[in-house]
Amino acid sequence: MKIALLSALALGFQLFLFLSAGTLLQRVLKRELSLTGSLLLGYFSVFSLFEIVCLTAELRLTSLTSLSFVTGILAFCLLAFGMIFGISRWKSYLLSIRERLSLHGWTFFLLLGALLLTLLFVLLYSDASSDSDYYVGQAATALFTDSIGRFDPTNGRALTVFKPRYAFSMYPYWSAVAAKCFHIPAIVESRSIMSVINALMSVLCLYRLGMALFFEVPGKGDGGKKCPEALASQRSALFCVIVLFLHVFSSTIYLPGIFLLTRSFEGKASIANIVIPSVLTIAVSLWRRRDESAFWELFLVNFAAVCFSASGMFSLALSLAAVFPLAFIRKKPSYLLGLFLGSLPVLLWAGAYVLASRGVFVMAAVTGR
Amino acid sequence: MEGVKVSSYGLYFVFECLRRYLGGSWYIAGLFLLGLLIWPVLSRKKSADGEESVSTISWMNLTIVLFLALTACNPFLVMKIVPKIGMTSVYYRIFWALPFVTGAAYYLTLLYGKLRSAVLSLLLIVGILTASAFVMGLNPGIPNLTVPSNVYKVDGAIPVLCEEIHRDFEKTESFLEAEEDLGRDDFRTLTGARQLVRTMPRCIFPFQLEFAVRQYDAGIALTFDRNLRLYYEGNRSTGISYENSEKYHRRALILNVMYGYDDTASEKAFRKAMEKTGTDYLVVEKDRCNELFLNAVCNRVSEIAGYVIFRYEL
Repeated sequence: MKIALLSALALGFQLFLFLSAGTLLQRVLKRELSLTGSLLLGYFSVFSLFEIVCLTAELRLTSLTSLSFVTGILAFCLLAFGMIFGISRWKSYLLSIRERLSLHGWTFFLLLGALLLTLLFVLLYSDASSDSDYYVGQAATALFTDSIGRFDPTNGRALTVFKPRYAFSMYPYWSAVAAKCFHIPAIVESRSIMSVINALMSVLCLYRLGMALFFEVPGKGDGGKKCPEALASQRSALFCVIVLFLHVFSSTIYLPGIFLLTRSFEGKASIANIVIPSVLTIAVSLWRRRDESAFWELFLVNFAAVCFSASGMFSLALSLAAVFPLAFIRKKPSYLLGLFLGSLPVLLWAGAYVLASRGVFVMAAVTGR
Repeated sequence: MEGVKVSSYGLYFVFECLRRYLGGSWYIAGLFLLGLLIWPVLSRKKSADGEESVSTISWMNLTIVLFLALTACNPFLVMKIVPKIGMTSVYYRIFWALPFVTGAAYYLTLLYGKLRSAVLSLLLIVGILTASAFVMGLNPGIPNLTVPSNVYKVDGAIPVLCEEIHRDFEKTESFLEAEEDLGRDDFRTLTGARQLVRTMPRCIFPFQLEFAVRQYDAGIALTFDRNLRLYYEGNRSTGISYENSEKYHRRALILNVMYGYDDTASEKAFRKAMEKTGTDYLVVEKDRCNELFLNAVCNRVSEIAGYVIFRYEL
């Protein structure tokens, strides 16, 4: 019971942290507040920040306790500033929430039902795959040994050097830090709390993608009575439900559907279901000429992708496929610079990985014998 | 992808990966491609505001598909590059970049509000989805959903087995010695880190428990790492072969003896394997256990939740 209560507290805290960080970022960028956008921006920015802090801590062989302390301070600052700058915006947003929800009509209840079923499924599902051995084992090992990545999570042996494939993706240690801060087992944070958070973010990503896709697309069935925003909201909700339905009937273990429903606590599940739809949303904005300055968001998404998993490089493939040809179609060389800067985190990761795996530099996991 | 190698499939490697990636859900890609081909044509016939938006998205989808087909999914390039960068087993993830699911959903959603009656539009969508459900297979995770028996979402035997092993191990001399040494050297040195590892009992668990043990209790060390154990169980998805690895054969011998798969293994060879691997405990299912052999070589600690725990001592 104590674990369940503390877990609920940890879940609430992490969501509030993402909301605060996202609100702060939206304010800095002078963007209109949206709950979905704030949570997603906060999610990406917090994991980008965590990647920097945790990678530094890992290479300096710092203890998990010290990392938790630093992360705690940063989280507190984000929460405090987010609340100071966001509270008035949240208030006005809450006052208009009924109106916003009514734009969705009956599709809101459909979406809510699908979302709750998805969250319940990921909360109950227990995955016994060998990959969970790595992701959850890494967090549990870090918590037990009070270290970062210095022990093989699959058997517990001490490492002399960090493995290049895993050394740069710090996502598993987020669970270790949260478990340490909230005094809950790492397995509960990883397999239950992160599953719920990631599944929620996946659905929010789809909704945002839907809003980008259906914005200003008029319908005919309503006889032109509905405002474009209402139709876009309804179609976005319907789009989310259809994607979730298709995930339920994704019958192979390679499709994003299996990663969403059974392995959402893994970093690569976040790549398939959060990062890639976000890159697609950015691409839609660029193709629709709605947001020409979307490259900074691409940078943030790709930064978080590096944190999640080595599979983050597949977001680079989509970034290139969607934006590179557009630069030539529109004859806009500035897009190429934006694409380069937006993809820089993945390019840097790929460079470091190649150099480390070729033995150009070695990342020692011990200071000496 | 297990068993799919560039050396075996050559230029067909990409197609084989795509075929296995989609499997019974080829219908999703079919819906996407159908929408991609026919929607811009339908949109052009009816000139209304925003139709340009639909064709823009179709152009974007088409560009993504063509760009990837010419680059990351180009069979000639893939055949040369993918094996060199060691990505054969995870190559299928490139297909995540193809907007099959979101694209199919996009074109289906466009139907809503497209017909004169919203109800008719909705019925059409529901009809297509129902037909899809009959054609496609169910997500493999859905039939495997069970309500977990504990908050950790692990097999109920794991917590009791781990507790029993710790209780027994903490009475042994090797643990007491390791505990005494703990903290003597800087934890950031290899010796310091190994001092901590020595305080952990090294075990072998049955396959159905092995991968969950260290997730629940990282204070337990395992003799097998993930790839070695997968290989022993016949899973070749990692693409690594351990046939010539002495490290692997030593560990495999212990499992073969535990389950009585190898009658020719001598007690001496078993003892050598246990000592070289530093294994302290063996956990075996009661009904599959090679009890005669294990009782002779190890100490029977206890029998819990259908499993027998054996301790090996020098």
